[in-house]
Amino acid sequence: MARILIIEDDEEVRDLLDSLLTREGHEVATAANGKQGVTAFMAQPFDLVITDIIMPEKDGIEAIMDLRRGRPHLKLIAISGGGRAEPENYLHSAQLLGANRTLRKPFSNEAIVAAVQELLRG
Amino acid sequence: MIPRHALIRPDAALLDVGLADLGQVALVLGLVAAGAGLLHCRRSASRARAEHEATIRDLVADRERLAAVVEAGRYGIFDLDLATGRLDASPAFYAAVGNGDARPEHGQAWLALVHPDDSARLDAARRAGSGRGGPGYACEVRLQRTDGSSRWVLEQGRGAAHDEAGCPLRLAGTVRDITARKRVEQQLAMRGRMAAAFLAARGDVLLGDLGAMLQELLEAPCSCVGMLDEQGRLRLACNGADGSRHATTTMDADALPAALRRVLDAEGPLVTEGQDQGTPDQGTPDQGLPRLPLLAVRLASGERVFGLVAVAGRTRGFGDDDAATIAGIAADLAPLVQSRLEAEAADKQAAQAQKMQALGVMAGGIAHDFNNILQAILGFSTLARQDAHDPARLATDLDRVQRATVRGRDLVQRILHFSRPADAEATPLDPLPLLEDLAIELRATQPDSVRVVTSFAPDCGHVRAGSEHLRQALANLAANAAQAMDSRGGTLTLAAAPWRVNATDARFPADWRGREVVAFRIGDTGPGIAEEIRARLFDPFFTTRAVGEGTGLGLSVVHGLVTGLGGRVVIECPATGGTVASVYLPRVDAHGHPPAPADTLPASSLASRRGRVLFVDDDPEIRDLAVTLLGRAGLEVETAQDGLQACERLARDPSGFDVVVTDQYMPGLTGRELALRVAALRPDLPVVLVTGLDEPADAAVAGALVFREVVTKPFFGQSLILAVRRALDRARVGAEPEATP
Repeated sequence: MARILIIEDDEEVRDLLDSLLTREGHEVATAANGKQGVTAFMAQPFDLVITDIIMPEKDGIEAIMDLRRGRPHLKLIAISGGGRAEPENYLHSAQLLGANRTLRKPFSNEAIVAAVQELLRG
Repeated sequence: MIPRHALIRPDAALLDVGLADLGQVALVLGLVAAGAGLLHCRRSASRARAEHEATIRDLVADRERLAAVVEAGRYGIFDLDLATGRLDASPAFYAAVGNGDARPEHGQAWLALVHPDDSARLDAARRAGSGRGGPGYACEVRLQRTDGSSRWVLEQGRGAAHDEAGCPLRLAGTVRDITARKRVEQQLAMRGRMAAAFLAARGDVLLGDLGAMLQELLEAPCSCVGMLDEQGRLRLACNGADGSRHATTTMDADALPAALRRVLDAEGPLVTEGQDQGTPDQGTPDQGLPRLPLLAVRLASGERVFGLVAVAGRTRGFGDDDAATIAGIAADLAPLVQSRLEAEAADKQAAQAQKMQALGVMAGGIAHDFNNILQAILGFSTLARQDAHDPARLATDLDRVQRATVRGRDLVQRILHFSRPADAEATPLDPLPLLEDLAIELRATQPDSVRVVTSFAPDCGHVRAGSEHLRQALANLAANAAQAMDSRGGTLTLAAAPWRVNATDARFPADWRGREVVAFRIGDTGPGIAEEIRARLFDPFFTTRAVGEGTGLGLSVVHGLVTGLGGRVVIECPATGGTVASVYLPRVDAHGHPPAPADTLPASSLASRRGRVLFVDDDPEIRDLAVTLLGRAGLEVETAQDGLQACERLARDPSGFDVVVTDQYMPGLTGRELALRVAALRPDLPVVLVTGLDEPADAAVAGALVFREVVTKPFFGQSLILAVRRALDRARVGAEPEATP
């Protein structure tokens, strides 16, 4: 049981991750873009953050930079289905900037659940 | 009168003395002195004669030298008596000025040869320069010749004798033929103009302008400039003598006259004397060449051939100097043509690169959206499997799968519209299937808090619209209506009915009053729209939504779509609350003629009834889906995997089915071909087409001819069932059939 923040602009994916991780017994909050996500985190810290990359207002790359600064132990998962570049390009950047795990969309429910469990254990 | 005698003095001066004076002289000087003086006189006279002869020799030599100079300088000398008009001139004068055998012997005849535009100038120059003590004059004028050509001469002269008022009595001077110099000057100027025109102008206008300049320069009635395109065709811009300026035509290389092809193949200039004489190297007239003298050269730079330039129609024909002139022009133009073509190619390449970049951006956007959609489908369907024991959860999961699928379908539709904007076939359309589909979609995709209520009059008639455009317009309005009710929910009403525009209805322009229309209405129970916003509703990018919730393009798109279909959109907020958006489209019958006759299909007949369906599709998944869906709806379903199998099945038992449902693209027969064979076997058997999103235009065309109903893939199960039932019902009602082409 952990506190998890999901930052994702696509409502369907946000809802999916919300119900999936809630069912796993976690306490889940959501945000629709990087700006909202960072604000939510500042108000109340989380154990783990899952963030999409391409989003309006503030993208996932910026959000990861903001969140990682001064928080070396925060668990970060970046997810992406690509945009102007291949998803791998974004995910590689995210990894360099401090994401612990990356997942390319579409991923299976099992994959994200496993990644979350692994990070929380470690 | 005293006779007078001339005496030659010792100093050789002539003394003119009268005889009477001689006596006086003798008296004064004495005879002796006089005798000595006479001897001396005889010696002086012989010396004077010698000097006189020398002078004459000098004069003759001077004259010869002058003649040589005059001849060398091609000067013609003239002496014109201004009072009588008598003209005294040298042979060189007539060579310069004359016109064949016509030699002007009179000042007026000479002036008549001067080009009318130049005669006033010459007259003014003569007057200004020939008065007493005047500086003389020089004037360049054109002289016209009977063969239509013109020559330039330089006339220089001065007044030779003057009256008391100082006015000249005679004009004396020279003329010189300066045609060659003038032509060179003119060519240089023309080349400059051509180069400027070439750099400034575009396409055929440019070619036409060049042609006009060639005509002027070479005094040819016709001209043309031809450029080869990538397919080896020659695009010709021609200027004709009859005023047909800038006529352009494209000729295949094969259709070019052989002589012109040889010019393109670098045989040097082509000079013909006209067809009547035949071309020099063939002896027989060359097909397609003008019957007039022609001069053509190719336009090329190095190995690269751009085209040719040609002039034609000069009665005296073209000579080597003309060929040299036009070759010089072609040589000037070739590098300009080359640099221009290279610049155009670079532009094209840049545009292509830009397009590819735009495509890349779009593809990226599509990939991004599509991966989200797939993520939702994959994720929620996995959850559905886990939720099999919990019906409420299962339903929610499947709703989300359905919603994501609809999003995917819309995305594909947008991509297709981007690549094929011309999909606006406005054929007569029965809007009911589309409305039923839209209702199904809205119920599936709106949250439970939004209740979707429909009211479709069965006798709506048809409208002239591309189904996709109408769907897009109505779906946009419905999305706005749903959004207006936000999380609080409410009722979304979707209605359609035939309607006649009231003669006094001020919402419509005068020509709409009294018209038969189909009215589509989309209502919501939201808060309505503030008065000050209503006027701006259709502005592009106007939105009341937060950033990221919408582009604001929706209503302006609706407005554009509906106006494009010849209709009107009206948005109103009734006093009872909420908002009603209405789309009015002119009502037509199934053949597109207004007004439509009432559709007699009773609504009750849409109720479930039995029927035998032959379902044809090469995709086994779709066949299985159809068997399940239609079977559950109480229909008997048999399947065939292609058109040929279906035809065999029907041939075995022509009365074994009540309706055929077919895919469009299958191996063997297409759906349309199958429908035609079915019509041959059993004209009363209705055929329903199921077609993918990428062929709506085909389907619309095909649908108007042979299909009773068209269902677009991916479809909601309900849509397929409704379409099959409508087809069955119409077939039954139409036992005394409607005229189906």
